[in-house]
Amino acid sequence: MYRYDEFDRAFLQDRNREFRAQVSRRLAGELTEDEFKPLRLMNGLYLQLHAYMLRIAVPYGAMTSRQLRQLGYIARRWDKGFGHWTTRQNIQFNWIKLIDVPDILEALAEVDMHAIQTSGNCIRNVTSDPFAGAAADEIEDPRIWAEVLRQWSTNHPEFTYLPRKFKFAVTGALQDRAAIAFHDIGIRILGGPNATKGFRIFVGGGQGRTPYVAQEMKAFLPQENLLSYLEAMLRVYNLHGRRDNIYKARIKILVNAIGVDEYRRQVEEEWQRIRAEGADLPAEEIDRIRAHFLAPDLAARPLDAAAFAKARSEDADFDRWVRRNVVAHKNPDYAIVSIAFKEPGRPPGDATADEMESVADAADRYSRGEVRVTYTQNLILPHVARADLIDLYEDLKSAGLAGGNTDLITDIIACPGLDYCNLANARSIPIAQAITERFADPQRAEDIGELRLNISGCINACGHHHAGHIGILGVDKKGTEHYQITLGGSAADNASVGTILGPSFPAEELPAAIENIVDTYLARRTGGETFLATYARVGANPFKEALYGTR
Amino acid sequence: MARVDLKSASPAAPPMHGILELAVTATREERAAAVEAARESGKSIAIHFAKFNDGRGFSVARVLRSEHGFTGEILATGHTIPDQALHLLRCGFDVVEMSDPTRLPQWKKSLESCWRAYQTAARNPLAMRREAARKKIRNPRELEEAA
Repeated sequence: MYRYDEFDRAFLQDRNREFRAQVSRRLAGELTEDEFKPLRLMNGLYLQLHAYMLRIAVPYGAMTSRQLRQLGYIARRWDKGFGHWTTRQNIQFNWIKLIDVPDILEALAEVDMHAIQTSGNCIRNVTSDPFAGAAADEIEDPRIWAEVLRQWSTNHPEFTYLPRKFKFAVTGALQDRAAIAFHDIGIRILGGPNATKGFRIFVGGGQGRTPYVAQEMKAFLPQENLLSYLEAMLRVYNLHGRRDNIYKARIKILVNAIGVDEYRRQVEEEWQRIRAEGADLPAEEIDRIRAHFLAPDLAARPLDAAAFAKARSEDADFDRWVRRNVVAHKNPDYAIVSIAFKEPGRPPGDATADEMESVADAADRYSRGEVRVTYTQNLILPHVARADLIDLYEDLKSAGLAGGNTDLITDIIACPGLDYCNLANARSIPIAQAITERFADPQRAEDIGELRLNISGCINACGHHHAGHIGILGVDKKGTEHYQITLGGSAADNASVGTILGPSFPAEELPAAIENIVDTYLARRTGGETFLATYARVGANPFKEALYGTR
Repeated sequence: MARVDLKSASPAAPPMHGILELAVTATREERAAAVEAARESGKSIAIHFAKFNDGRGFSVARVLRSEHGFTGEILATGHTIPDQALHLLRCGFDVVEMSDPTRLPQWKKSLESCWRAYQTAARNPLAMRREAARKKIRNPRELEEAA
């Protein structure tokens, strides 16, 4: 974990003091709402339907048990006792008062956390692989570079008033678990010749009303040139990205308007002029940051395989939890464990203060105090000894967090929707709950297999519906909430944008329509084929026929 | 028009030899021509902010300093807010024409709001993260013990 020193703490104190003064000036009428808006946004503060929402950065989704406990404290003291894990690996609180925000930011600073650049037209919190530092297929820990980006982008003097928000994702493993193809800039760590490492850079991915899969920008960028190259990329965008229409202001629109080759030409030209200017970090500074992410010393903890097998055979729920929520760690004595926040009755990704504390306790006991947030709105314990899995499961069960449905149809990504958000056309949470109810039988959900179902309450696509194997989009049809279904999206390697299946459904008909799609898949799948594989093989027609009949 | 000098955080005199306006949409060639003309005439280059959140002016000033090597005065005109003072200074602006002259005290305050920076810019008057590390490289193991 990156640990703040005096420099980082002092920076944060200055920043919080500045924002406290800005809030006072706003309350005193010295700043107009128009002028205050970008300032509050770049400090994480939105104005929603019922109250202010504060989005707190969890840089690249990694936090300590101490930080998680403090989030629980904030939930209890200043919100209604719960928070919400977001698709940017952050947490947001939906019931915040403006006047409390400076105190909340101070409480965050006590544990080296902040809400800087979680919103606004600036470089947002960088996302990454939630299994970083633990995954068996890792080339290099992506948190090193995500932290380099966090620091570089923090209060950047030139890139704080961009045409639109700007999102980075970094992955350092063979398998992309950070959805880099759906980011403004996606970065993949590559092993290079002679043990040198570099980056493969992608640009122009994104969701929203114009979804694009990112295109390759540079096949191999030496690691030491990262920041100068990104400065060139951002400068070309800052100068030439559209500012006349917020729906056409993301870099994906610029890249597609002039073509990725022309964009690359302009960036390379700019980069050649500036690469010697000194934006790149000196090697010793990279080493300083790298040293914070040394692999933990994990003691040998051999598993009593017979006892473990016995426990699995005696408890079907435990057995399923092990199958669904436990992933191989680079150390064979250890595992990466997923904690689900998706059972029936729960708005996807909501966590109470008690639950935050329970997970913090479990992290201390079993995972060296480390916790991760996933963009699928769950938590991860990255370093659990396999010998502790039975005890951990019991602890999680007592906390009501032992659901075994990772990556199944009930592991739904959903935005807050019309229950909270003033952009939404339709509610997301009740739809997610209705679908979760319908597939509540865990055996059935597991039979259906890996199936990513994502729900957005409007075309801004915060619920990643474009990237869902099944995507659901809330639309407004003559004043009533309707839902459009897309199939075939994916955020993994070979990412794709889902295709709209046909006319939308009213809320009450939607769960049956989803069930119909699932039944169609089950009738057509061969062998161990996943939903996505079957869809790729048979196409949309069988699903269209099942939903709309043959016309 | 009331002006603030960003380097000294005090009121600034009008440009001695007049100004030369440079559009934020100027091409590289147009920027080079403006720099040439300003060098010869001693004029200040003015970059206009149509609205404070139109951030193109930051990049234009930065490029004038870093790539065109312009050392004369750069002036920000139009709509800017005091909270942008350090961003403007670091990108290479010298003087701001205040869209609201009653805000001079706030501009001064804003120039002292932050003393540290994580990245290089056209001007680097703040303490730099990378230099903090060079002066005293902290071993994370020590930090772990201290925490």
